[in-house]
Amino acid sequence: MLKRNEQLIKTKLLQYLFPSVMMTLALQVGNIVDTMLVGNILGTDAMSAVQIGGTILLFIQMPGYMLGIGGSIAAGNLLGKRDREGASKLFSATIAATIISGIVFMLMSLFSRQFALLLAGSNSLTKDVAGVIRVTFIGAPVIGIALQMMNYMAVDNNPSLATWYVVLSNIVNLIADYLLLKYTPLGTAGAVWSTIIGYTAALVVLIPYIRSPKRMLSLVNPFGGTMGVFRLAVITGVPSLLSILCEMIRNWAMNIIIIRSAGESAVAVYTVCLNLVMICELFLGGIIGTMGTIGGVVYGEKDYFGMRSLSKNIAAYSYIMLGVLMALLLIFTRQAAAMFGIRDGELMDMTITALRIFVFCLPFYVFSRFMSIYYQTTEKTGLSNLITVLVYCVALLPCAVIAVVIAKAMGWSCINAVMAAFIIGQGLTAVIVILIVRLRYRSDLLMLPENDEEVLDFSVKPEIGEAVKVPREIKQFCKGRIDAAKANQIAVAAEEMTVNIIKHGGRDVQSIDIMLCITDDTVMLRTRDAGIPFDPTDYTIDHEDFEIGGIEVIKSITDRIIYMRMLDFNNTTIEIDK
Amino acid sequence: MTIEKTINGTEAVFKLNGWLDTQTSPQLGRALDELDGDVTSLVLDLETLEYISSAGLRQVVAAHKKMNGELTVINVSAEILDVFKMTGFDKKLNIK
Repeated sequence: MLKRNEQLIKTKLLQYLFPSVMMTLALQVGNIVDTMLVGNILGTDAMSAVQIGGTILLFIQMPGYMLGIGGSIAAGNLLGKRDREGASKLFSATIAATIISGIVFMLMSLFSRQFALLLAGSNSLTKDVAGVIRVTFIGAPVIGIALQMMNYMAVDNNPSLATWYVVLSNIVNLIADYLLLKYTPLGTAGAVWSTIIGYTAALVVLIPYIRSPKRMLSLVNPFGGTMGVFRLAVITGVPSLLSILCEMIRNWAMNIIIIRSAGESAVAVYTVCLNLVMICELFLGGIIGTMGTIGGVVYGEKDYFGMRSLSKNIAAYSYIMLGVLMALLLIFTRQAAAMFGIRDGELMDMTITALRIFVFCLPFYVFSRFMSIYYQTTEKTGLSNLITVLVYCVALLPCAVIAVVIAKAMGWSCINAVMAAFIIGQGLTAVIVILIVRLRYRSDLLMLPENDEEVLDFSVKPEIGEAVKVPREIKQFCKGRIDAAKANQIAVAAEEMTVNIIKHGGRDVQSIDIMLCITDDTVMLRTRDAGIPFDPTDYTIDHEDFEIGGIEVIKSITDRIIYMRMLDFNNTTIEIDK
Repeated sequence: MTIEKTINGTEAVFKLNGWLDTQTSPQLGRALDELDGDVTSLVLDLETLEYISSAGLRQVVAAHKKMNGELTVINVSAEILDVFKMTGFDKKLNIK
């Protein structure tokens, strides 16, 4: 009996892993180096101003993240369900919404000082914070579109272009950063201007994307019957939106807790810790992010074997990477702090101790990040939202308050107490999620549904000897389930598809996934391969002789053929009515 | 797949057993090539043929062409007849 293997999913994960890590790497390197440059060129006060003003950056990123991440996952789900038109409507509607919200944000730049007072209070940082906020609002439309297009290009068969977008934007950003901070009087606002210049310059990458033959998404009228799919993007994107919202609340509340309990200088320690999370995000975010890109499509196709394989491999890669990062952070703590302009002395000692405590919240952080994006991808947004709210606010903030109160009463370091609260808060989140899934849903953490239909799922190597096993496997499975003639038709079609992939797919075909699904009305056969793009629906019969080709046979004996290039795979679905 | 060959003067009968698929269809091609030039008509007996793929159908077409249309297909099972019908072969071949 033939069995399904993980080869195609693993290959795809490795193919997407590098662009995804590179994308996150470039995105976060930009943020971290921005902070480093500000800390080293303008001083730690300016770094704190950028950190406080960064709350507004998170705010304007909300639509871009929500509609970009949510939209791309939902578009992947729709493509997985072979609804290309719906995916294009969703794409167009979310782009239009981001442009509109970007313009609204631009108008909000008129109230930058008021926002600065709200976030920083009236002190020496207010002016710098207001400058950061003003420029951030002005750049909102570009930032929103950039975040969206990165995600859409990745899900739409062009992960390397998505990577190029981020890499290019960050190279320009960092060059502009250095020049503007060092040689102009712009001050902290220069750091934000350089980000906007970077994102704008990188828009050039959209040209090869638009011209890409592998592109499945296209722009349609964004206002014509798109409400349904737009709603889908919003619902799918809510966890991303909520994540930014909660992160904003956490940063705001933590800044207050730290300033009041440990003083303004401790904000710099907290800033370094948060930036070290960003360093972990450089690698971990990219690895975990592949769940959204690949998982959306795989889940849309109801390929639950593929989802399990994907989850297992992503979790394994994430924790291996985390182990390395934790070891490095524990060994090179002083150097890590020095990178952010922390000099020797009391502040350095405080940072080293705090960091060494903080590092131990990272295993729970990875768990929460992974589960949150997993539930978002598998259309369980409620659970994803719960994790986000717990990890950023509901579990963390009370822990921080209690820890600070205890520390004060015992005469311990308050900043260390806050760091310990991160471990307890994140650990508590993991325990609550596991308990809810186990007790309420009585399921394992992945919560994958059982297939309602009767499904045969297996893989074959690209060899003729394997291809001829395919019809045998199918006829055997269909015995007693469907009419023998229909079983024979689908078996013939399956052999033809497999042989066609082997003969014409090229060297990239290392394995072929075959899934047969029997529903109440139809018998559906899906083949998936990594070969050169081939759309059998485009194939035309160009001879009038008494001849027959493999694809002609498939067209003759089946009722429908649907083709999609997804995740850079050929996905062909053949249906026969029962 | 096995092919039982019977030749009576100018008429040959091939009885095909098993599966005529991508891997086994070259066998039928070789059997056709080996036919003597005196043979002018061919009967394909499919009574014990369980399955035919497009590669198999192409060999049937080759036989039809080699015999200048003097090909008769007999004892076709319902499943294989179904494939012949759906591909339009039933209109071009002499099926009994």
